[in-house]
Amino acid sequence: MRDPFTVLGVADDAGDAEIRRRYLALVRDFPPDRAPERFQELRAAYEALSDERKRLATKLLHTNSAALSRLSMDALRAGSTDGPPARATRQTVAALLAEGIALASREQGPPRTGDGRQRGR
Amino acid sequence: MTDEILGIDLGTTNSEVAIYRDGRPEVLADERGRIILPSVVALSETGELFVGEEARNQYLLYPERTVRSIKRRMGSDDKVRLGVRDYTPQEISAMILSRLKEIARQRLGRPVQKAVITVPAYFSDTQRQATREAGEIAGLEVVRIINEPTAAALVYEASQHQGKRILVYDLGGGTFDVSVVRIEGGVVEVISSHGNNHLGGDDFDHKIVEHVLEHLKLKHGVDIADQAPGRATAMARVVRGAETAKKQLSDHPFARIQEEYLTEQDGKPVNLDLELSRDDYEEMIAPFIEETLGAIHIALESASLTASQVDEILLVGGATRTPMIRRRLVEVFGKEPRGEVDPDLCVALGAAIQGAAMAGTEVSAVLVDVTPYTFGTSALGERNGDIYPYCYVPIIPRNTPIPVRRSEVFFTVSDAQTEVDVRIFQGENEDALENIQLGEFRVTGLSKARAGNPVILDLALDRDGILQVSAREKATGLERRITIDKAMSRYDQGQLDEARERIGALFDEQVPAAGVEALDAELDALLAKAGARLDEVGEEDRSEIIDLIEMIRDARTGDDRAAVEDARSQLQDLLFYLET
Repeated sequence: MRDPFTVLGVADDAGDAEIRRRYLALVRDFPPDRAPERFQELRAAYEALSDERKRLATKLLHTNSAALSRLSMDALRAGSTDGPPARATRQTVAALLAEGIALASREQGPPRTGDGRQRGR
Repeated sequence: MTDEILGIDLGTTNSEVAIYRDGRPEVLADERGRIILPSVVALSETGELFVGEEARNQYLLYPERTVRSIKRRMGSDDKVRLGVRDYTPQEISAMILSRLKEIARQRLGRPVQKAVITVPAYFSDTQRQATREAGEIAGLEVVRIINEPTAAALVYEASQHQGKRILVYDLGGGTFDVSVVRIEGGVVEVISSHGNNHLGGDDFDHKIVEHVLEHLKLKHGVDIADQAPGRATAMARVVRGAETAKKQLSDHPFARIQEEYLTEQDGKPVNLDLELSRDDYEEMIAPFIEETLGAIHIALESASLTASQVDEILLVGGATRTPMIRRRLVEVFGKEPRGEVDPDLCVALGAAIQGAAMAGTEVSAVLVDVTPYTFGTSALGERNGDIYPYCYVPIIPRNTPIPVRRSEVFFTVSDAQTEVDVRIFQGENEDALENIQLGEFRVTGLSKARAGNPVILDLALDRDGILQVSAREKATGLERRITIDKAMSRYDQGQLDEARERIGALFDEQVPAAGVEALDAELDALLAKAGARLDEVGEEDRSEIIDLIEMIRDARTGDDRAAVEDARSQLQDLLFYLET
């Protein structure tokens, strides 16, 4: 998938208002009615960036390793309401990465494995 | 010439057809200037088909030859009898659509084959598909199905530029929808939608009818539901009386239902004379109103909004004229609903705006709509601590913007399992069997792998809210694909063609007797316009215009309407060509 920041054409420190404004402008150019595929890409990107936590998750997934530690600190702060910061770090980053993967996979569909669901006859 | 697209509101009680021209949407009137077509179909004793007011009037005389509120049966297998034949709900709806198409042809002076047709937001996949089929039987190309509250919001948008959150409360004859819509930056975005596709103004009528029947039993000792001779007509009169009383109660505190010589009992005439107060009426319908308020709360919750964050309330559908509805909404929201959009017409107008947008006309708003239903499948899982084979696995959650495609991976349960059954459901219950099953198919020929062989299920919801499903084995790419509409549709192409011919024939037999005056007025205007251009055009065009004018005059004198129509449309095209 393409990086959602690139899809919407916003910097990775863009805030809610700017992301929404950009999304609406692009939807006007690529309405669901006339550009269904492009709209779906825009929508998935918008959802992946629609709040602070999701943006962080998306950033973690698409970042290079040099920036990862800085982002991990952000993640730590974002997750610090969940419990003591020291213990939350790795879990928070891991959880955020998992969210990032889930958000990314939505656009492309699979793989969303590992939930142990089974079906058959 | 641009490809025109009609906007059609195919309602439970009334229907309308609109078109976008000269920069705005406009509802088209029939030959007698009527813009609202009652959704009633009747067959006279001589086999003549009536649609609209004439059919509604005939209901009193021949209720058994009259069909009303067919929309409530769309998507079901019920057939209704009209004269000597049974018809499907699609066919009856097609008769209404054919009439609307004819009104548009008369009004615009040329046939239009394409239409956007509206459906209640809460219409199911099956009901949407049935609506599509009705359009095809009527010889219309249904370019899009859109949701009624969304269409209404499109009309409202025209007058709005700053960001707003709007609640659309749409109570029609047979269905109720509530949608939360956000209008911002030229985009009309539906945030959430909820409803009940079996709740509407018809239910209010039924309550009054029940009340009258009870009164007749107590006061006159007569049960007009007993199927005795002449009772069908008596019942029709009571139904009409109830409708009239309901409307009166919107403006008056009391209504009187009077029907002289309604029927006979033991050889004596029964005269109905009953007064109904608004208070009593409101008590009867209060449970329905409360149900709509419950739906509002669900829609607000899904949109993560509180009542106070809603900027405007938009009322759609004739039943919203009920004073109690306005009163309760003011209580909930602390503000008056907007009044400038006509609750009877805004859906057709919005459909015309959408039609224009699809035809390539620059219109102000872009529309993003959502699915009001969750779509998913069933899987083996745990429920209430037990293993249960039909746990619901949502794949596309409700209020997801459409179009959308989502996938989910499943695993085979046993070694060398070569087949998997897939069921597709629509609904919210965690027990899949409590939801509506849309279709079922089997993926066969899987490789003989160990248990845990991944199979990917892919659901795509298109812009009409109609679902496509495919499943494939991850390892081999083996794929099985179904369109739910194909799986559920009761019509195949041959049957559609056959139905189209049959319904079309009902209309062909009738010469459009009325409407000549209105058409003549339009024709005169066209002739005058053509005459005025004669001096400014080249020699070749000039002689062609003169020929056409003469053809029209001759055909008119000979009362050959078909020839008039043919020459008229040629002339219109020529003038249009000269202007551009």
